[in-house]
Amino acid sequence: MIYLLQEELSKKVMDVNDIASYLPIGIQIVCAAGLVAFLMLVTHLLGPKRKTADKLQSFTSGIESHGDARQPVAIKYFLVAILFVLFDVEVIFFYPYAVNFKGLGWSGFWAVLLFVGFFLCGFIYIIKKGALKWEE
Amino acid sequence: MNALIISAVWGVVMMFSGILLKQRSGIRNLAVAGLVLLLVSNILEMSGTVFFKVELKGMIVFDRFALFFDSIIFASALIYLFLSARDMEKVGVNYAEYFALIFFILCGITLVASFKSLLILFLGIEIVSIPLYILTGSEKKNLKSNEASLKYLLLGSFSTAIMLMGIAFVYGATGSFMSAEIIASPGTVSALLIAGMTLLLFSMAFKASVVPFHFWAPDVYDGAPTVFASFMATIVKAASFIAFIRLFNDLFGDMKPEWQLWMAVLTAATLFVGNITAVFQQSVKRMLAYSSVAQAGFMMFSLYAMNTDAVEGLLLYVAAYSLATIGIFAVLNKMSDYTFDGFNGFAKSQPVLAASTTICLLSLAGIPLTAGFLSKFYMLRAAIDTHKNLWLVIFAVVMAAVSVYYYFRLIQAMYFREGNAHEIEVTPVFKWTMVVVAALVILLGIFPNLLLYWFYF
Amino acid sequence: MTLVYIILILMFGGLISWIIAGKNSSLAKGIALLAVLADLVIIIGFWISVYDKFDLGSQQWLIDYRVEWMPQLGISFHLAMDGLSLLMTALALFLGAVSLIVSWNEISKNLGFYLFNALWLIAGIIGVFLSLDLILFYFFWEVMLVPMYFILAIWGHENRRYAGMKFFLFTQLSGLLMLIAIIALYFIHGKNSGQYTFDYFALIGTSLSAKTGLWLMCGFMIAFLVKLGIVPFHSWLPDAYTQSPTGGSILLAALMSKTAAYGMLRFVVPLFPEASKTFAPVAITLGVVSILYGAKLAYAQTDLKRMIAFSSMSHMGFIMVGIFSFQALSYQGTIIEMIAHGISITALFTVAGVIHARIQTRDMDQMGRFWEQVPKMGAITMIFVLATLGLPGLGNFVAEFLILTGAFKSNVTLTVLAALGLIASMIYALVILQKIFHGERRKEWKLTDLTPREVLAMGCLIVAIVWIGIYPQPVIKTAQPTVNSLEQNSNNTTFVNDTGPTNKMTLKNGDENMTMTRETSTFFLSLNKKGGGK
Repeated sequence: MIYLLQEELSKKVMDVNDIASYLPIGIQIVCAAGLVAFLMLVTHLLGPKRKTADKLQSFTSGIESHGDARQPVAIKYFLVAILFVLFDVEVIFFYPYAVNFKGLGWSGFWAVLLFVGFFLCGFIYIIKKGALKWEE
Repeated sequence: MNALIISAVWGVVMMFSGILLKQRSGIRNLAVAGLVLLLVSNILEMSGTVFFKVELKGMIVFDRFALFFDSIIFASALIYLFLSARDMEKVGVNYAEYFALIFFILCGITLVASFKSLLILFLGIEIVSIPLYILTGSEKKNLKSNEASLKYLLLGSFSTAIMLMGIAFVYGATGSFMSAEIIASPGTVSALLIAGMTLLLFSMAFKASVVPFHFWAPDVYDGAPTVFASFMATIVKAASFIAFIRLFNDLFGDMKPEWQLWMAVLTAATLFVGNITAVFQQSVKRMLAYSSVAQAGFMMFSLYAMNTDAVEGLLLYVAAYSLATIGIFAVLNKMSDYTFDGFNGFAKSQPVLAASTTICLLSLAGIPLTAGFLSKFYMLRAAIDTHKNLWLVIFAVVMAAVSVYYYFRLIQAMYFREGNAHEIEVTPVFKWTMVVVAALVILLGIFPNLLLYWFYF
Repeated sequence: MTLVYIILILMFGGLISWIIAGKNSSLAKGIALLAVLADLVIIIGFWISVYDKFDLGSQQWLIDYRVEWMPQLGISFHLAMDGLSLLMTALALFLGAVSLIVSWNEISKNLGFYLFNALWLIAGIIGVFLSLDLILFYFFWEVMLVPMYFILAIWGHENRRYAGMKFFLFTQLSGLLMLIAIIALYFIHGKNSGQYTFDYFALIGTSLSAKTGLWLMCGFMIAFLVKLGIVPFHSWLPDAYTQSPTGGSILLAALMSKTAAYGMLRFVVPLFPEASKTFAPVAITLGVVSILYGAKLAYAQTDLKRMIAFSSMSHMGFIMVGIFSFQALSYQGTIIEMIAHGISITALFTVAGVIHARIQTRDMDQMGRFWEQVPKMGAITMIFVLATLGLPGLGNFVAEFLILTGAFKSNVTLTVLAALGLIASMIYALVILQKIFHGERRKEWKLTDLTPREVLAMGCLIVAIVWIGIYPQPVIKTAQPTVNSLEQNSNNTTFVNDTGPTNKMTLKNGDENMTMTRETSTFFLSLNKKGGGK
């Protein structure tokens, strides 16, 4: 299935052996790191600093905080969160398909249908297993 | 191709069987049926019957070698199910899921056995590893199992990262993931390619538990539920060696002078650490864990030598080693006491099982008339055929003699020590499967052609 | 096929008696003994039928049986028999039967498994004597080990597990080193001739450089030296010999050590003629050291079995001296020594076993003045003690005399030293007699004399040892063709060194296939005769 999504459209990049061709990546890295560093530095320098007790308290929408944040949370939250991430991330795979929609034609369509089919199996499985039941 | 698709689909089927089937025996039978189907379809593919025609663009090639190896793996897995499927009930409640994960692992194994592109290798290794992390930690109430699982996950992801880095370097050096193009890439061997190869070597050595990348193995095998430790130590280890040998044969075969000495050093280190540490173990399970490291040392010979003998020999070695180790682990799993003393007097209470276990142990120790001897013989032959580094061969032989000590300790416990090995429950199926395993070990030791003949026709 | 049957009868006999032993123990013993005796009858019948053929210059090989086994590896199932292996096989069966008879009542625990191991051990030993494919030889070499280990570790004396493990590790390691040498020889031969095979006849003409030859020979020699128990590879030997049950001691000392001597005669000398010449001074020195050191240690023991073990080690030194003198006389002496020592050591271990069974100790300091109570045992022991110290008229004398006569031609100094061993052996051998049967009575024991069964076994042994001592001609005649070819072999190589291309060419021909080798060897034989050389 993987080959379908890489297709002929992406021609092989020739001659990437020389170090010079990595230059853009280098510039990118420097820029990215530089930007982060710059922003952090600037906010640190420019921002006013008033350290009061109220200020240092963690902000919870105006409600006064109480207790410790590090207490056990029901496993269901994690389960749902992880399942959400899983299904959410899988959607990313539709993006390259959407881009190459015409080029891939029917065979691509079947492949994606298969993909969704497997996906659906997973979904049915978690429902049947009761992973999404909040009561109990 | 048959096996790849069927194993993936059957994994999903097994997942649902847990919901649909109420009885555990039903689930078990379904799994056995699936494996038989896998084995049969794979053998059919060897004789040219392919059910699924899919254009793979050369990224996966199901050649003779891969199919043959898959058959060995499926047959071993079938024996494994016969011996140990019942014991999985003891591990936890998700009975069907364990089988599903095992089928997914088998799917991954078919990938790593037949990859022609580094992407597929990566995919296969991951498909094998992730279910293993879960299986290792499947005994939820057992802290040791949890620890092992976490350790395995962390170290495993680390090695995966190293592998990705290596693949990236190789891509950088040659501009391709495909093994044919990597070999054909013009020019001299660049530093980038060497770096990529070395990183791949390290990560594969990790997966195959080769010293000095073995530290996870004894802890994980010890912590994991015994049924799954047996699966990991045999079938999965065999798969990582096949991936290893494919990688270095297909991709880096031309660069043999660059890595041969590396392999020799790794082989020697693995043999040394595995054997010497195994001598000092008090628990049979841990001894088997180290013995699996030591046996990996012998399998490393095929990588070091990398000739026809080596490849054939590895197949025989894999079969011999898997059979014997699965057998011993299955018996171990029935015991309540995992120390050597737990086996005292076992020959009196269970003569048939003791005799079969003894044959398996003799095979691991490499005594003639067992498959273990011939596979070691193949390895030594392959190594001597390289006409260099004879020290390695002599060293290996010394280590093989050391290994006799700890395997025979178990035989001594079973036969020569008085004791009341606890009454264990065994089904007739279990007993007969053990007899079949022992018979196969001897049969392969006398007529290896039964197995290797397939490879030739 | 006869050779295959001989081995199969033993293996099946072992299996059957294992199966029945649970129901009927005496029937199981009977079947085991019957299997060995049946083989013995076959072999002796065969010997008589071919006896007239052993004239000088006849074909060396009497039976040659070969089928392909693993063709792609060049391994075949190749058994063959010449005079030497005929003698050794007969010896193995004879002593095997005796060992079964003398330990008839000794084993009660797990009898079936014991019989199985004993028979498979004998089968393995005979396999070693008969196989002419190097891998097959290695197979049998290792097949001997496992049953021996079980016999030692299950039915042995107090320290059995330690002794068993030590025995196994020593022999296994040395055997594996031999395996490396075998594989290396295979590749060198394959490279030279293009024919990859483990067949003895093909490999025998392999031309090796001096250094390679020496290394490969060392691989073989280590395995044989360990099995033979030559100084400095002997440390497993006293433990294993002492801790075995009587039957095991007999099989170990009388038969298994002979496989090593046989291996030297069959493989080391013919395969590496030049290297063994180079090695000969070292080998003879080791032999002499073993003779003297073994005798010294034997004298110092108080444990009867341990003493016999060291005396055996001392005699094995003679075998080393005999083989590496490369003389026809000493070869003959070696072969007779193998037989005579096998018989006498069997008898001595039987006596030790018989005494141990009656008084539960092997400590000679607690024995004394037994003759009064058990005259039959005393008389029989005396005969074999005298045999051990080399009294003329008994087998060992003939053997040691021939060895020393032959060795004298090749190395005078060392031979003189070796001959000192005869004096030393007299001292320790007489000590056995003195301490046990004469001297002071140190403790009151209730002894019963030998049972008829034991007398029968010992009687056979006495007949055999006297026969060899007085009329060794049948043995000499049977071994003659083998000895001839061994001698030519060492002469051939000197030929190649001396003169030039013609002989080299014949050697090259010999490489091509085994029939050619045999033809060339007969060719040489006739050449020798015409030249009137020997």
